[in-house]
Amino acid sequence: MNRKDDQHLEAAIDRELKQLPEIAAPDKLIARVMAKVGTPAPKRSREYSEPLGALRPFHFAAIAVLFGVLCLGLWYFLSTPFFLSAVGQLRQSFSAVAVVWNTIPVIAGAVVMAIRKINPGLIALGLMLISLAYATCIGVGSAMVRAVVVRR
Amino acid sequence: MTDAQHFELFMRNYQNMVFSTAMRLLANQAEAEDISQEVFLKAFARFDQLRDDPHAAGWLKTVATNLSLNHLSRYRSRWRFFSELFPNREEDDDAEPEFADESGADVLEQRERSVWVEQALHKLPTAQRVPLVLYHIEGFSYEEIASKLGVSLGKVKTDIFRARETLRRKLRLAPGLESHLS
Repeated sequence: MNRKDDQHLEAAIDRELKQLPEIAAPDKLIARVMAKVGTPAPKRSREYSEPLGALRPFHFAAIAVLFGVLCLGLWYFLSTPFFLSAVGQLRQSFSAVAVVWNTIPVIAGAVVMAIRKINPGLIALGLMLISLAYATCIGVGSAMVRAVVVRR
Repeated sequence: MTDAQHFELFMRNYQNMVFSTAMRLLANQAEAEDISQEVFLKAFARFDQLRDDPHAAGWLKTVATNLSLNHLSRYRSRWRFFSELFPNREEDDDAEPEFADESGADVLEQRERSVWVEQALHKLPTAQRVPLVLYHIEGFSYEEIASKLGVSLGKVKTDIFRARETLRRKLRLAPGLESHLS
């Protein structure tokens, strides 16, 4: 196409598109918006943004002081005999967990022994079936999203 | 009349314009509805100013355009991933039975032709449809479109050129005969 054709095409497309009437909005749009509008704002955001106003700096200062007090309190608490004895008890409890931890390699060894007795062909077949099922799930899921969400 | 009733009337006046803007950019009914809802929720938040503002329509159109473009850029990568599952699906512009009735084109009523054009527009690939709509319908310049979409000026011009060509093919316009269309 030459330049003149381009200009003709541009003019024709421009005319066609500018003549397009407005698309009617769905009836439910107003209802949707009005339902949202009728819902009060979340309580927390309203309380903070509306009534505090000039008190906001004091609010920040109070929070900072409270945070400092909490940090100091925690620091003192960590050095009390009560906390130290609690830590000791906790260590004793975890000694039981250590026993369980040591049994895991034994169980794993038994499982490996059992697997070795199974036909390798069956294991391969099982792995293939699992892979196939997984791939199918991904494929079907992607196609569904494409069909339902993207092309909705 | 209560504020809610005022706002409902305001929505009735502008909902088609807002929805059309979003629909032509997104080519997706559900997404256009969501964007329209978002636009009107923003409008409600500043309804005191918009209520008697003569530029309310322009404000709504700008917000609808920006939100639609934001939506497109936000979901562009996801859209690309899924569009690769069905490559060329949006480009198969040769198989459009609804646009194949060339002999009847001259006698088509304006309304029917508008539906044809609208459908052809919605079937354009996003990369072509968005700059075309921004240029011809929303009235942006090439430079403004490039800036809004974050692409080069050359790409905008190429995409719009391709979009026009695709539309010409879809609407079965012969080169040099576009003026016969209307």
